[in-house]
Amino acid sequence: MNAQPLRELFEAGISEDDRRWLADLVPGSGSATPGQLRAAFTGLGRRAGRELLGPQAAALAAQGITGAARWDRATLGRVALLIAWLPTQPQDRQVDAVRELYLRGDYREQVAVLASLACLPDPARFVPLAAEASRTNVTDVFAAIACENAFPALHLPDLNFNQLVLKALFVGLDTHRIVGLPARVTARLHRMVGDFADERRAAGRSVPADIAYIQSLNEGSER
Amino acid sequence: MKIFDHHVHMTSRTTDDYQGMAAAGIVAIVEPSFWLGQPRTHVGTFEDYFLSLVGWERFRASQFGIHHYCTIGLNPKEANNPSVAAGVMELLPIYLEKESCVAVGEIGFDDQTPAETRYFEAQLELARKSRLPVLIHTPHRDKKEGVRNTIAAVKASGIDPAWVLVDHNNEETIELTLDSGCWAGHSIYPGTKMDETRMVALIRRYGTERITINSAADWGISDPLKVPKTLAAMRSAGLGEDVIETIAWRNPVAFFAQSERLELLNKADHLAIDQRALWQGNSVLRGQQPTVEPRR
Ligand SMILES: [Zn+2]
Repeated sequence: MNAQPLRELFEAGISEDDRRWLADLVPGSGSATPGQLRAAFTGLGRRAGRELLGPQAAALAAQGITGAARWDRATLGRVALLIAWLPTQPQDRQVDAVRELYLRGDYREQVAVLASLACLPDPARFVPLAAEASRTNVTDVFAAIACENAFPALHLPDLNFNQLVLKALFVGLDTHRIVGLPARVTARLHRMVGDFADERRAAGRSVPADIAYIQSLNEGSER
Repeated sequence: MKIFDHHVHMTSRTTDDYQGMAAAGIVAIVEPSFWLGQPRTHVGTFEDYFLSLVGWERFRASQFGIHHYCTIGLNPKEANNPSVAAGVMELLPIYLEKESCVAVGEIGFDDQTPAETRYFEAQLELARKSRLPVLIHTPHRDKKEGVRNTIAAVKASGIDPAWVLVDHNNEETIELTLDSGCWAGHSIYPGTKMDETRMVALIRRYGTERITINSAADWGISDPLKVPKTLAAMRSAGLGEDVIETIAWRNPVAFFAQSERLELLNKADHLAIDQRALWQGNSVLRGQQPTVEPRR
Protein backbone atom coordinates (compact mmCIF):
# COMPACT_ATOMS: atom_id res chain seq x y z
CA MET A 1 0.00 0.00 0.00
CA ASN A 2 1.39 3.39 -0.99
CA ALA A 3 1.32 5.71 2.01
CA GLN A 4 1.93 8.87 0.01
CA PRO A 5 -1.70 9.97 -0.53
CA LEU A 6 -2.43 9.35 3.16
CA ARG A 7 0.54 11.37 4.26
CA GLU A 8 -0.24 14.23 1.87
CA LEU A 9 -3.83 14.42 3.03
CA PHE A 10 -2.62 14.44 6.61
CA GLU A 11 0.13 17.00 6.22
CA ALA A 12 -2.20 19.38 4.41
CA GLY A 13 -4.19 19.67 7.63
CA ILE A 14 -1.49 20.35 10.24
CA SER A 15 0.49 23.45 11.18
CA GLU A 16 3.95 24.25 9.84
CA ASP A 17 5.26 23.73 13.40
CA ASP A 18 3.81 20.26 13.66
CA ARG A 19 5.05 19.35 10.19
CA ARG A 20 8.55 20.26 11.33
CA TRP A 21 8.11 18.30 14.57
CA LEU A 22 7.11 15.25 12.54
CA ALA A 23 9.97 15.64 10.07
CA ASP A 24 12.49 15.91 12.94
CA LEU A 25 11.14 12.86 14.67
CA VAL A 26 10.59 10.70 11.62
CA PRO A 27 13.09 12.09 9.07
CA GLY A 28 12.22 10.13 5.81
CA SER A 29 10.18 7.29 7.13
CA GLY A 30 13.11 4.96 6.41
CA SER A 31 15.43 6.11 9.13
CA ALA A 32 13.10 6.20 12.13
CA THR A 33 13.89 3.85 15.00
CA PRO A 34 11.01 2.05 16.74
CA GLY A 35 11.42 4.53 19.60
CA GLN A 36 11.13 7.54 17.30
CA LEU A 37 8.14 6.04 15.55
CA ARG A 38 6.46 5.40 18.88
CA ALA A 39 7.05 8.98 20.03
CA ALA A 40 5.60 10.36 16.81
CA PHE A 41 2.66 7.95 16.94
CA THR A 42 1.79 9.03 20.48
CA GLY A 43 2.47 12.72 19.97
CA LEU A 44 0.10 12.94 17.02
CA GLY A 45 -2.78 12.52 19.48
CA ARG A 46 -2.67 16.07 20.67
CA ARG A 47 -1.10 17.65 17.61
CA ALA A 48 -3.64 16.44 15.07
CA GLY A 49 -7.24 17.29 15.80
CA ARG A 50 -10.25 15.15 16.42
CA GLU A 51 -12.28 16.26 13.40
CA LEU A 52 -13.43 13.35 11.31
CA LEU A 53 -12.24 13.11 7.73
CA GLY A 54 -15.75 12.71 6.35
CA PRO A 55 -15.89 13.42 2.59
CA GLN A 56 -12.11 13.99 2.47
CA ALA A 57 -11.82 10.24 2.80
CA ALA A 58 -13.26 9.69 -0.68
CA ALA A 59 -9.76 9.80 -2.21
CA LEU A 60 -8.69 7.01 0.15
CA ALA A 61 -11.77 4.90 -0.53
CA ALA A 62 -10.75 4.97 -4.22
CA GLN A 63 -7.52 3.24 -3.11
CA GLY A 64 -9.43 0.56 -1.26
CA ILE A 65 -9.01 1.97 2.24
CA THR A 66 -12.33 1.31 3.96
CA GLY A 67 -13.86 3.28 6.77
CA ALA A 68 -11.61 6.34 6.60
CA ALA A 69 -14.61 8.68 6.68
CA ARG A 70 -14.87 7.86 10.39
CA TRP A 71 -11.19 8.39 11.11
CA ASP A 72 -10.12 11.54 12.85
CA ARG A 73 -7.04 13.43 11.75
CA ALA A 74 -4.77 11.77 14.34
CA THR A 75 -5.84 8.34 13.09
CA LEU A 76 -5.08 9.37 9.52
CA GLY A 77 -1.61 10.56 10.52
CA ARG A 78 -0.92 7.44 12.51
CA VAL A 79 -2.05 5.09 9.75
CA ALA A 80 0.07 7.00 7.24
CA LEU A 81 3.12 6.77 9.50
CA LEU A 82 2.73 3.09 10.20
CA ILE A 83 2.17 2.10 6.57
CA ALA A 84 5.24 4.03 5.46
CA TRP A 85 7.47 2.92 8.31
CA LEU A 86 6.77 -0.78 8.74
CA PRO A 87 8.37 -1.99 5.47
CA THR A 88 11.62 -0.27 6.52
CA GLN A 89 11.95 -2.60 9.48
CA PRO A 90 13.56 -6.06 9.39
CA GLN A 91 10.99 -8.59 8.24
CA ASP A 92 11.20 -10.68 11.41
CA ARG A 93 10.62 -7.65 13.65
CA GLN A 94 7.51 -6.32 11.95
CA VAL A 95 4.78 -8.29 13.72
CA ASP A 96 6.22 -7.51 17.14
CA ALA A 97 6.66 -3.86 16.26
CA VAL A 98 2.98 -3.49 15.41
CA ARG A 99 1.91 -5.37 18.50
CA GLU A 100 4.12 -3.13 20.68
CA LEU A 101 2.49 -0.03 19.25
CA TYR A 102 -0.91 -1.53 19.98
CA LEU A 103 -0.17 -2.68 23.53
CA ARG A 104 1.52 0.56 24.57
CA GLY A 105 -1.01 2.85 22.99
CA ASP A 106 -3.85 4.70 24.64
CA TYR A 107 -7.13 3.74 23.12
CA ARG A 108 -7.02 6.18 20.25
CA GLU A 109 -3.58 4.87 19.32
CA GLN A 110 -4.97 1.34 19.44
CA VAL A 111 -7.80 2.38 17.14
CA ALA A 112 -5.24 3.63 14.62
CA VAL A 113 -3.18 0.44 14.73
CA LEU A 114 -6.30 -1.62 14.04
CA ALA A 115 -7.43 0.70 11.26
CA SER A 116 -4.12 0.17 9.49
CA LEU A 117 -3.96 -3.64 9.70
CA ALA A 118 -5.63 -4.41 6.38
CA CYS A 119 -3.28 -1.95 4.61
CA LEU A 120 -0.04 -3.41 5.95
CA PRO A 121 2.08 -5.78 3.84
CA ASP A 122 1.25 -9.47 4.28
CA PRO A 123 -1.68 -8.70 6.57
CA ALA A 124 -2.47 -12.31 7.52
CA ARG A 125 0.42 -12.26 10.01
CA PHE A 126 -1.57 -9.84 12.15
CA VAL A 127 -4.39 -12.32 12.83
CA PRO A 128 -3.31 -12.92 16.46
CA LEU A 129 -3.32 -9.18 17.13
CA ALA A 130 -6.73 -8.72 15.50
CA ALA A 131 -8.11 -11.64 17.53
CA GLU A 132 -6.67 -10.13 20.69
CA ALA A 133 -8.19 -6.75 19.86
CA SER A 134 -11.56 -8.40 19.30
CA ARG A 135 -11.54 -9.34 22.97
CA THR A 136 -11.11 -5.78 24.26
CA ASN A 137 -13.76 -4.27 26.49
CA VAL A 138 -13.08 -0.72 25.38
CA THR A 139 -15.91 0.11 23.01
CA ASP A 140 -14.01 2.36 20.62
CA VAL A 141 -11.21 -0.16 20.24
CA PHE A 142 -13.62 -3.00 19.57
CA ALA A 143 -15.47 -0.90 17.00
CA ALA A 144 -12.16 -0.16 15.28
CA ILE A 145 -11.58 -3.83 14.51
CA ALA A 146 -15.22 -4.83 14.03
CA CYS A 147 -16.61 -1.96 11.98
CA GLU A 148 -15.69 -0.52 8.59
CA ASN A 149 -12.55 -2.63 8.75
CA ALA A 150 -11.82 -5.05 5.93
CA PHE A 151 -9.45 -7.13 8.04
CA PRO A 152 -11.74 -9.50 9.99
CA ALA A 153 -13.72 -10.85 7.04
CA LEU A 154 -10.59 -11.19 4.91
CA HIS A 155 -8.30 -12.82 7.45
CA LEU A 156 -9.86 -13.98 10.72
CA PRO A 157 -10.51 -17.73 11.05
CA ASP A 158 -14.14 -18.74 11.63
CA LEU A 159 -13.79 -19.08 15.39
CA ASN A 160 -12.49 -15.52 15.85
CA PHE A 161 -14.79 -14.06 13.24
CA ASN A 162 -17.88 -15.63 14.82
CA GLN A 163 -16.85 -14.37 18.25
CA LEU A 164 -16.44 -10.91 16.81
CA VAL A 165 -19.94 -10.98 15.32
CA LEU A 166 -21.45 -12.24 18.58
CA LYS A 167 -19.65 -9.57 20.53
CA ALA A 168 -20.90 -6.89 18.15
CA LEU A 169 -24.44 -8.13 18.86
CA PHE A 170 -23.83 -8.01 22.63
CA VAL A 171 -22.47 -4.50 22.44
CA GLY A 172 -25.30 -3.32 20.25
CA LEU A 173 -23.09 -2.33 17.32
CA ASP A 174 -24.86 -2.26 13.98
CA THR A 175 -23.68 -5.50 12.36
CA HIS A 176 -24.20 -3.98 8.91
CA ARG A 177 -20.96 -2.17 9.73
CA ILE A 178 -19.00 -5.46 9.73
CA VAL A 179 -17.36 -5.39 6.32
CA GLY A 180 -17.84 -8.61 4.35
CA LEU A 181 -20.16 -10.24 6.88
CA PRO A 182 -22.57 -11.75 4.32
CA ALA A 183 -19.79 -13.81 2.73
CA ARG A 184 -18.70 -15.18 6.11
CA VAL A 185 -22.05 -16.48 7.35
CA THR A 186 -21.92 -20.20 8.14
CA ALA A 187 -24.24 -22.79 9.69
CA ARG A 188 -22.28 -22.45 12.89
CA LEU A 189 -22.71 -18.67 13.02
CA HIS A 190 -26.45 -19.10 12.37
CA ARG A 191 -26.62 -21.56 15.25
CA MET A 192 -24.67 -19.25 17.60
CA VAL A 193 -26.84 -16.29 16.76
CA GLY A 194 -29.99 -18.39 17.19
CA ASP A 195 -28.83 -19.59 20.62
CA PHE A 196 -28.17 -16.02 21.63
CA ALA A 197 -31.70 -15.04 20.60
CA ASP A 198 -33.10 -17.95 22.67
CA GLU A 199 -31.07 -16.84 25.68
CA ARG A 200 -32.45 -13.32 25.41
CA ARG A 201 -36.04 -14.57 25.11
CA ALA A 202 -35.61 -16.94 28.06
CA ALA A 203 -34.37 -14.03 30.16
CA GLY A 204 -37.36 -11.94 29.14
CA ARG A 205 -35.23 -9.50 27.21
CA SER A 206 -35.60 -7.97 23.80
CA VAL A 207 -33.87 -9.66 20.88
CA PRO A 208 -31.55 -7.38 18.87
CA ALA A 209 -33.00 -6.68 15.42
CA ASP A 210 -29.66 -7.53 13.83
CA ILE A 211 -30.19 -11.19 14.70
CA ALA A 212 -32.94 -11.39 12.08
CA TYR A 213 -30.59 -9.68 9.62
CA ILE A 214 -27.85 -12.26 10.15
CA GLN A 215 -30.32 -15.13 10.03
CA SER A 216 -31.62 -13.81 6.71
CA LEU A 217 -28.16 -14.12 5.14
CA ASN A 218 -27.39 -17.31 3.25
CA GLU A 219 -24.75 -19.65 4.53
CA GLY A 220 -21.47 -19.78 2.68
CA SER A 221 -19.02 -22.60 3.17
CA GLU A 222 -17.16 -23.09 6.44
CA ARG A 223 -13.44 -22.34 6.33
CA MET B 1 -22.87 23.19 38.92
CA LYS B 2 -19.95 21.54 37.14
CA ILE B 3 -17.29 20.10 39.41
CA PHE B 4 -13.69 19.15 38.65
CA ASP B 5 -11.93 16.92 41.21
CA HIS B 6 -8.32 17.34 40.23
CA HIS B 7 -6.83 14.65 42.47
CA VAL B 8 -8.56 11.30 42.82
CA HIS B 9 -7.18 7.76 42.42
CA MET B 10 -10.09 6.09 40.65
CA THR B 11 -8.19 2.89 39.93
CA SER B 12 -8.85 2.08 43.61
CA ARG B 13 -12.56 2.98 43.50
CA THR B 14 -15.75 1.22 42.47
CA THR B 15 -18.45 1.93 39.93
CA ASP B 16 -20.69 3.02 42.84
CA ASP B 17 -18.19 5.82 43.40
CA TYR B 18 -18.33 6.84 39.75
CA GLN B 19 -22.12 6.83 39.90
CA GLY B 20 -22.19 8.96 43.05
CA MET B 21 -19.62 11.37 41.66
CA ALA B 22 -21.56 11.85 38.43
CA ALA B 23 -24.79 12.36 40.38
CA ALA B 24 -23.06 14.99 42.54
CA GLY B 25 -22.03 16.98 39.47
CA ILE B 26 -18.43 15.86 38.95
CA VAL B 27 -17.79 15.96 35.20
CA ALA B 28 -14.01 15.93 35.07
CA ILE B 29 -11.26 14.37 37.14
CA VAL B 30 -7.50 14.11 37.19
CA GLU B 31 -6.01 10.86 38.40
CA PRO B 32 -2.40 11.33 39.44
CA SER B 33 -0.16 8.32 39.20
CA PHE B 34 0.95 7.39 42.68
CA TRP B 35 1.96 4.45 44.75
CA LEU B 36 -0.43 1.56 45.10
CA GLY B 37 -0.10 0.88 48.82
CA GLN B 38 2.64 -1.68 48.47
CA PRO B 39 5.96 -1.47 46.68
CA ARG B 40 6.14 -2.60 43.07
CA THR B 41 8.88 -5.03 42.20
CA HIS B 42 9.07 -4.48 38.43
CA VAL B 43 9.26 -1.52 36.10
CA GLY B 44 6.76 -3.38 33.93
CA THR B 45 4.02 -3.08 36.53
CA PHE B 46 4.53 0.70 36.47
CA GLU B 47 4.13 0.69 32.73
CA ASP B 48 0.90 -1.31 32.93
CA TYR B 49 -0.34 1.13 35.58
CA PHE B 50 0.41 4.10 33.32
CA LEU B 51 -1.36 2.29 30.48
CA SER B 52 -4.44 1.72 32.61
CA LEU B 53 -4.49 5.44 33.46
CA VAL B 54 -4.57 6.40 29.78
CA GLY B 55 -6.71 3.43 28.77
CA TRP B 56 -9.06 1.32 30.83
CA GLU B 57 -9.64 3.82 33.65
CA ARG B 58 -10.32 6.59 31.18
CA PHE B 59 -12.86 4.34 29.49
CA ARG B 60 -14.48 3.39 32.79
CA ALA B 61 -14.90 7.06 33.70
CA SER B 62 -16.37 7.88 30.30
CA GLN B 63 -19.17 5.41 30.91
CA PHE B 64 -20.36 7.57 33.76
CA GLY B 65 -20.08 10.74 31.73
CA ILE B 66 -16.84 11.80 33.41
CA HIS B 67 -13.79 13.15 31.56
CA HIS B 68 -10.71 11.38 32.88
CA TYR B 69 -7.27 12.95 32.72
CA CYS B 70 -4.12 11.79 34.46
CA THR B 71 -0.72 12.91 35.61
CA ILE B 72 2.32 10.71 35.09
CA GLY B 73 5.39 10.54 37.27
CA LEU B 74 7.63 8.59 39.62
CA ASN B 75 6.09 8.98 43.07
CA PRO B 76 8.36 10.02 45.95
CA LYS B 77 7.99 6.79 47.95
CA GLU B 78 9.18 4.60 45.10
CA ALA B 79 11.88 7.07 44.11
CA ASN B 80 13.64 5.38 47.04
CA ASN B 81 13.49 1.98 45.36
CA PRO B 82 16.60 1.63 43.18
CA SER B 83 15.31 -1.53 41.50
CA VAL B 84 12.53 0.41 39.75
CA ALA B 85 13.27 4.16 39.93
CA ALA B 86 15.70 4.51 37.03
CA GLY B 87 13.61 2.28 34.78
CA VAL B 88 10.47 4.30 35.48
CA MET B 89 12.32 7.50 34.59
CA GLU B 90 13.05 6.02 31.17
CA LEU B 91 9.33 5.40 30.61
CA LEU B 92 8.25 8.92 31.50
CA PRO B 93 8.99 10.83 28.28
CA ILE B 94 6.69 8.60 26.23
CA TYR B 95 3.84 8.54 28.76
CA LEU B 96 4.03 12.30 29.30
CA GLU B 97 3.24 12.59 25.58
CA LYS B 98 -0.12 10.80 25.95
CA GLU B 99 -2.94 13.17 25.11
CA SER B 100 -4.85 12.65 28.38
CA CYS B 101 -1.76 13.34 30.51
CA VAL B 102 -2.17 16.90 31.79
CA ALA B 103 0.76 17.22 34.20
CA VAL B 104 3.84 15.60 35.65
CA GLY B 105 2.84 14.15 39.01
CA GLU B 106 2.39 13.44 41.69
CA ILE B 107 6.02 14.00 42.52
CA GLY B 108 7.80 15.61 45.46
CA PHE B 109 8.91 14.50 48.89
CA ASP B 110 7.89 11.72 51.24
CA ASP B 111 10.76 10.97 53.66
CA GLN B 112 12.83 13.79 52.12
CA THR B 113 15.77 11.58 51.22
CA PRO B 114 18.60 12.37 48.78
CA ALA B 115 17.09 9.94 46.25
CA GLU B 116 13.75 11.75 46.44
CA THR B 117 15.49 15.06 45.87
CA ARG B 118 17.35 13.74 42.85
CA TYR B 119 14.26 12.29 41.13
CA PHE B 120 12.11 15.29 42.06
CA GLU B 121 14.60 17.63 40.38
CA ALA B 122 14.92 15.40 37.34
CA GLN B 123 11.13 15.35 36.91
CA LEU B 124 10.82 19.12 37.30
CA GLU B 125 13.28 19.31 34.42
CA LEU B 126 11.18 16.85 32.39
CA ALA B 127 8.09 18.98 33.02
CA ARG B 128 9.90 22.05 31.76
CA LYS B 129 11.00 20.23 28.61
CA SER B 130 7.56 18.75 27.96
CA ARG B 131 5.81 22.07 28.68
CA LEU B 132 3.57 20.42 31.27
CA PRO B 133 2.30 21.68 34.63
CA VAL B 134 3.43 19.89 37.79
CA LEU B 135 1.31 18.36 40.56
CA ILE B 136 3.29 18.07 43.78
CA HIS B 137 2.58 15.79 46.71
CA THR B 138 3.71 17.15 50.09
CA PRO B 139 4.69 14.84 52.94
CA HIS B 140 2.59 13.97 55.98
CA ARG B 141 5.61 13.91 58.30
CA ASP B 142 7.68 17.05 58.82
CA LYS B 143 5.26 18.75 56.47
CA LYS B 144 6.21 22.38 56.86
CA GLU B 145 9.86 21.64 56.17
CA GLY B 146 8.76 19.48 53.25
CA VAL B 147 6.82 22.36 51.73
CA ARG B 148 9.81 24.68 52.20
CA ASN B 149 12.09 22.20 50.46
CA THR B 150 9.51 21.71 47.72
CA ILE B 151 9.34 25.41 47.00
CA ALA B 152 13.13 25.69 47.03
CA ALA B 153 13.34 22.92 44.43
CA VAL B 154 10.70 24.59 42.26
CA LYS B 155 12.55 27.92 42.43
CA ALA B 156 15.86 26.25 41.57
CA SER B 157 14.33 24.48 38.58
CA GLY B 158 13.42 27.70 36.82
CA ILE B 159 9.82 26.57 36.25
CA ASP B 160 7.22 29.31 36.39
CA PRO B 161 5.50 28.74 39.77
CA ALA B 162 2.15 29.40 38.07
CA TRP B 163 2.68 25.99 36.42
CA VAL B 164 3.08 24.25 39.76
CA LEU B 165 0.36 23.06 42.13
CA VAL B 166 1.59 22.16 45.60
CA ASP B 167 -1.00 19.82 47.06
CA HIS B 168 -2.19 18.64 50.49
CA ASN B 169 -1.78 22.05 52.15
CA ASN B 170 -3.06 22.93 55.61
CA GLU B 171 -3.24 26.00 57.87
CA GLU B 172 0.49 25.74 58.51
CA THR B 173 1.62 25.63 54.88
CA ILE B 174 -0.87 27.62 52.79
CA GLU B 175 0.93 30.94 53.19
CA LEU B 176 4.30 29.45 52.23
CA THR B 177 2.74 27.98 49.10
CA LEU B 178 0.78 31.05 48.06
CA ASP B 179 3.72 33.38 48.68
CA SER B 180 5.86 31.26 46.36
CA GLY B 181 3.51 31.92 43.43
CA CYS B 182 2.53 28.26 43.22
CA TRP B 183 -1.07 27.06 43.36
CA ALA B 184 -2.21 25.70 46.72
CA GLY B 185 -4.20 22.46 46.62
CA HIS B 186 -6.13 21.12 49.61
CA SER B 187 -7.13 17.49 49.98
CA ILE B 188 -10.35 17.12 51.92
CA TYR B 189 -9.78 13.78 53.52
CA PRO B 190 -11.53 12.11 56.45
CA GLY B 191 -9.40 12.21 59.60
CA THR B 192 -6.20 13.71 58.18
CA LYS B 193 -5.08 16.48 55.83
CA MET B 194 -8.03 18.93 55.74
CA ASP B 195 -11.78 18.91 56.44
CA GLU B 196 -14.76 20.84 55.08
CA THR B 197 -15.15 23.33 57.93
CA ARG B 198 -11.47 24.19 58.08
CA MET B 199 -11.46 24.61 54.30
CA VAL B 200 -14.33 27.10 54.48
CA ALA B 201 -12.31 29.08 57.03
CA LEU B 202 -9.22 29.05 54.78
CA ILE B 203 -11.22 30.37 51.82
CA ARG B 204 -12.73 33.12 53.98
CA ARG B 205 -9.24 34.11 55.03
CA TYR B 206 -7.26 33.69 51.80
CA GLY B 207 -9.88 34.08 49.07
CA THR B 208 -9.86 31.92 45.94
CA GLU B 209 -6.83 33.02 43.96
CA ARG B 210 -4.65 29.96 43.12
CA ILE B 211 -6.56 27.88 45.68
CA THR B 212 -8.01 24.47 44.80
CA ILE B 213 -9.63 21.57 46.60
CA ASN B 214 -9.73 17.85 45.82
CA SER B 215 -10.69 14.56 47.46
CA ALA B 216 -7.38 12.73 47.00
CA ALA B 217 -9.57 9.63 47.39
CA ASP B 218 -7.57 6.42 47.05
CA TRP B 219 -7.38 2.92 48.52
CA GLY B 220 -7.42 4.25 52.10
CA ILE B 221 -10.38 5.51 54.12
CA SER B 222 -11.27 8.42 51.90
CA ASP B 223 -14.29 9.90 50.17
CA PRO B 224 -14.57 10.74 46.46
CA LEU B 225 -17.52 13.05 47.24
CA LYS B 226 -15.46 15.39 49.42
CA VAL B 227 -15.33 18.11 46.77
CA PRO B 228 -19.13 18.42 46.41
CA LYS B 229 -19.44 18.11 50.20
CA THR B 230 -17.01 20.97 50.72
CA LEU B 231 -18.85 23.10 48.15
CA ALA B 232 -22.07 22.43 50.09
CA ALA B 233 -20.32 23.50 53.30
CA MET B 234 -19.20 26.69 51.56
CA ARG B 235 -22.77 27.35 50.48
CA SER B 236 -24.24 26.82 53.96
CA ALA B 237 -21.56 29.09 55.39
CA GLY B 238 -22.89 31.81 53.11
CA LEU B 239 -20.04 32.01 50.57
CA GLY B 240 -21.22 33.36 47.21
CA GLU B 241 -21.94 31.26 44.13
CA ASP B 242 -19.12 32.98 42.28
CA VAL B 243 -16.63 31.88 44.93
CA ILE B 244 -18.05 28.36 44.87
CA GLU B 245 -17.83 28.10 41.10
CA THR B 246 -14.25 29.36 41.09
CA ILE B 247 -13.25 26.62 43.53
CA ALA B 248 -15.39 23.92 41.91
CA TRP B 249 -14.42 24.55 38.33
CA ARG B 250 -12.62 27.65 37.15
CA ASN B 251 -9.45 27.22 39.20
CA PRO B 252 -8.63 23.60 38.44
CA VAL B 253 -9.55 24.15 34.78
CA ALA B 254 -7.29 27.21 34.59
CA PHE B 255 -4.38 25.32 36.12
CA PHE B 256 -4.57 22.17 34.00
CA ALA B 257 -5.55 24.02 30.82
CA GLN B 258 -1.93 25.21 30.75
CA SER B 259 -1.14 21.75 29.37
CA GLU B 260 -3.27 22.63 26.30
CA ARG B 261 -4.75 19.15 26.60
CA LEU B 262 -8.10 19.93 28.24
CA GLU B 263 -9.72 20.71 24.90
CA LEU B 264 -12.74 18.46 25.51
CA LEU B 265 -13.99 20.59 28.35
CA ASN B 266 -14.97 23.39 26.01
CA LYS B 267 -16.95 21.21 23.66
CA ALA B 268 -19.00 18.95 25.86
CA ASP B 269 -19.25 19.19 29.61
CA HIS B 270 -20.66 15.80 29.96
CA LEU B 271 -19.71 12.92 27.73
CA ALA B 272 -22.82 11.32 26.38
CA ILE B 273 -23.32 8.28 28.52
CA ASP B 274 -23.92 5.20 26.48
CA GLN B 275 -23.61 2.13 28.58
CA ARG B 276 -25.19 -0.01 25.90
CA ALA B 277 -21.69 -0.12 24.51
CA LEU B 278 -20.82 -2.90 26.89
CA TRP B 279 -21.19 -6.58 26.96
CA GLN B 280 -21.66 -9.34 29.46
CA GLY B 281 -18.78 -11.19 31.03
CA ASN B 282 -16.07 -8.97 32.41
CA SER B 283 -17.59 -5.61 31.60
CA VAL B 284 -18.55 -2.87 34.01
CA LEU B 285 -22.24 -3.59 33.55
CA ARG B 286 -23.32 -7.03 34.60
CA GLY B 287 -26.83 -7.57 33.39
CA GLN B 288 -28.52 -4.52 34.86
CA GLN B 289 -30.41 -1.99 32.77
CA PRO B 290 -28.02 0.36 31.01
CA THR B 291 -28.35 4.11 31.34
CA VAL B 292 -28.58 5.75 27.95
CA GLU B 293 -28.42 9.48 27.43
CA PRO B 294 -28.74 11.17 24.07
CA ARG B 295 -25.39 12.32 22.73
CA ARG B 296 -25.06 16.07 22.90
ZN1 LIG C 1 -2.60 11.27 45.64
